[in-house]
Amino acid sequence: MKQRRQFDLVIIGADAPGLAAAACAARAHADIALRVAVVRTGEEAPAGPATPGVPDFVWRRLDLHQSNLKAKPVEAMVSIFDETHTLATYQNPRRTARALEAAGADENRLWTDYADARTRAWTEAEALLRGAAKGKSALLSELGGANGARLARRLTQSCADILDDHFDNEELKTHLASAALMPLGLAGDEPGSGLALASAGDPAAWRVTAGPKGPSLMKALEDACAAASVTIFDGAVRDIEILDEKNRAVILEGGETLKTPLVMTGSATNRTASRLGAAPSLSPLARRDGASAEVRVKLAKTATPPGEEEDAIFFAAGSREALKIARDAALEGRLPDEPPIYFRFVKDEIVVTAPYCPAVLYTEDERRDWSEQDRQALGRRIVERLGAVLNGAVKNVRRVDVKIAARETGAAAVGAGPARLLAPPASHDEIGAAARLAMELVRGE
Amino acid sequence: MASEALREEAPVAAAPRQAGMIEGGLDAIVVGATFDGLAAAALLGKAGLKTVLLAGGDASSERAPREFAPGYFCADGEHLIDGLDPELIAALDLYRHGLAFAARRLETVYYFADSGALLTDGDLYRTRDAVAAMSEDDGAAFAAFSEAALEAARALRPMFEGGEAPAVPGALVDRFLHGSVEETLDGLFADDHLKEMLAAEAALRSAARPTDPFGFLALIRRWSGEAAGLQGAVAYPEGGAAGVNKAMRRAAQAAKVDFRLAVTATRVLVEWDSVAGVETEGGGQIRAPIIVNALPAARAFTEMIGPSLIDIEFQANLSAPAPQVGFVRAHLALEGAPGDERTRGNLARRLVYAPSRLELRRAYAAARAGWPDGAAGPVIMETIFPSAFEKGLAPEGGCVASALLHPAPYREMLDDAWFKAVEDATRATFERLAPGSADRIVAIDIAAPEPAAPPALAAWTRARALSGASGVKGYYFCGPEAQIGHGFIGAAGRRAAQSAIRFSKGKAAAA
Repeated sequence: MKQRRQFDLVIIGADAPGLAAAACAARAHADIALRVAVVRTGEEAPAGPATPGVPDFVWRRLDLHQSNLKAKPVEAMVSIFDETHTLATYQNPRRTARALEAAGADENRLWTDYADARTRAWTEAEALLRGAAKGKSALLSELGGANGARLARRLTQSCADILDDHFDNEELKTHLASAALMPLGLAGDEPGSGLALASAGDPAAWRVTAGPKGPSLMKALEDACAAASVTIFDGAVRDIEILDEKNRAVILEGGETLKTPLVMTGSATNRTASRLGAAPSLSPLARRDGASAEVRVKLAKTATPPGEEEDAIFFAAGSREALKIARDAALEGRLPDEPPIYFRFVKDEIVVTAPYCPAVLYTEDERRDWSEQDRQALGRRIVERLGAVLNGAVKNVRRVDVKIAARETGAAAVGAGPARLLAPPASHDEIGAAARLAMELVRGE
Repeated sequence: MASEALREEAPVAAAPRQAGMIEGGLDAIVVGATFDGLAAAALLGKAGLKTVLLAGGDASSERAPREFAPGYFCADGEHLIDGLDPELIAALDLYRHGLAFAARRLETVYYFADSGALLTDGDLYRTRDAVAAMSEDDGAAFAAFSEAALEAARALRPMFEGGEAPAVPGALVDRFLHGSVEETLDGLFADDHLKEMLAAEAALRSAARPTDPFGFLALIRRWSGEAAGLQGAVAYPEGGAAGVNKAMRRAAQAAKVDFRLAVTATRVLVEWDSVAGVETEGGGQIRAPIIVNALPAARAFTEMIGPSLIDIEFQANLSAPAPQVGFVRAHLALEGAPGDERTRGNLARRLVYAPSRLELRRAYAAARAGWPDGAAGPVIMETIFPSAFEKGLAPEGGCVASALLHPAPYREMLDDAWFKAVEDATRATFERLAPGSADRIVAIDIAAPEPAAPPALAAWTRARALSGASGVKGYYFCGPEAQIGHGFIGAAGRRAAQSAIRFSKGKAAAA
């Protein structure tokens, strides 16, 4: 048996949020060297160019400016309705205001109001969600406070209600819903999905790193971990056991045992976490079921994005109803006929995400897992959809890669024991959420 | 005010007695003869306040059983009791006024998609034996869960009554507060039947899909109630819903509440920042410093007071998204006893069809889509046989089943296609409970759908807000939006009356 090593914090999942959280936690104290470990389980979601943005406080704490990493903000989020018709919001609020003015003056007037209300809502809710993730049973005590009823409203309001309250323009509503909901796999009628709109307004949600040149974000974060003396382990997690009052043992497949008082996961939708029986996330934004597919469409030559918006994310949902239809189909184990997608142009590739895929498929009520044929069929459907959305601009497809990232169903989560596994709340700012949680944990706040 | 009253003179001719009359000398007015309205009136009367109840011509709540097919009778409204406020029962001595149960702690039989079935005890505490017999692995887990859940439900009761969130510790409570039905059950159990049975109980009459966050709390809300003194139990009241309403009316009469059955209040009179009374149809005025309104919030506030007098922030609570999903009550007339042996032995029990996970997800998706092609498959169905508890509801040898189907699309305008779809769903699901009885169904009576309950946490927010400061002093609300979940509860009426009594005492002390 290999030796047991003691750590102050073990983070499961060496994805971008996990690495960033580890490096931030290791540097949380100026004068104490904390022992932080990250476990690369091999089940991390693929680190495509759609990696989440790095919030400023993480950037500064990890000195990422020294890493040559080119931070490239997403300039625009664009919804494509048909060949010529698009609607966009921009990182620059004034540009958004101008664009909305062009779309209809009324919406523009309400925009500031709407954006302010969302920012307030997110600040309030995020603190609560993080507190609850730390296992402080914060929700009930907060509800008992003076603002309890308002907080409950924030937590349970749906995206559809908030949008209907503020706007009339159905295309604007579709656009805002797409940008807020699709990355989280929600459809907008779930209680609490209103927070997605709030979270999407977070500045970090706009930032994307890893420009075409220079080191990737993952490389930069690994370097930051090395600089902060974070140990990275490779291997799946077999189990987490209670050792004594304070310590748990994270047991890896290789037999290695990590002794630690604190175990957390890098992201809210960590597969290992659901297998090991992490408590269900308090955040209403956590995906409950279904899978997300990443489809890389490699073209013979570099394609030009619509409107030549190089640094934009394009959304093609069609309507808010289409999001619900797709989500319902996924819940019933079917692929939707016209899957809502969002995509980015990266050199000669179009990287498409189809967020509403079933976790398991049902054919005539028989349950089955994804097969190679299913993946290929999905790939074809996505290329077809791209072709329709981009008006035939998708020619000479060289190769189509399909990856399915499914949330493990909780069937194995029985006996979710006292070995409580903490997870950051789901949000658009995954890196920030993980880093804040890790830092608060090691500081004992 | 006077000129307005004069202007209304003309149409008043139909009700000459009230025209322009101003009645005073009262302490409180209750608007709406709902169960909560009656409860509030009874408590106010009992506290010594001179109270009138304006029923607005709505005396339907005590209607005698209705003959829906020759020789077959059914009662409208709630068919079971699972959460009648114990404090209200005690305060009004409802048992003395005729509240009685024809069947206490009804046993429940769950039917599953794979034609399995499970008989459970009427006492949740003893249900663990049935569960342990069904699934060895989950027996212990269920025992621990049911204990924790019942304790959590008890602790959260003040919240479900519309009061403040209680200061109880425990991560388990937190988990019940925000989890979805499916993920919470997945985290607890492995046995599919057990999960399907609890999912059916949690989803029944709830608008939240089984995958929606905050959905599981509906089950804890149900288990927070008690029937015939037993927490989490279900009982059949003597005389059905009408029997319960009748007991409450008698309690109100005993408390010397003045019933005005035909009088409808049209507006609430507000003078300065306080209520002064109501204006009735026909232009009369009834004046009192306290008004308890049991009508729906939109009427109670927007129509009867008017937006200009209500606090701006408060108005945000008045608009609610239109319900999409609802439940339907159906009565079935059966010739002879149901076909199979199994059901015949179950007539004095509560039967629940618990769909499989996929069936339930499909049922919600189809109901939300409005059933474009009829119901997609079986739905959750709670059935009892009132004819087994009370005589005379069915002809000799026949029986009446009272069923509640969920989820169905919620609509206000109903057409033949809708009734046809509900009837098909009723037949299809009833066949799962009682195979082979399809050709014994003589008639099916289908009521208009009722909206499903919003997630308990959202309902709590709204109930808290609506019973809070509307900006008008002396105005108390106990309409349907003040209640969290469905069923005969009465806690909203009790809380409104208690606040009103405190207000009245405070005023008396100040004077």
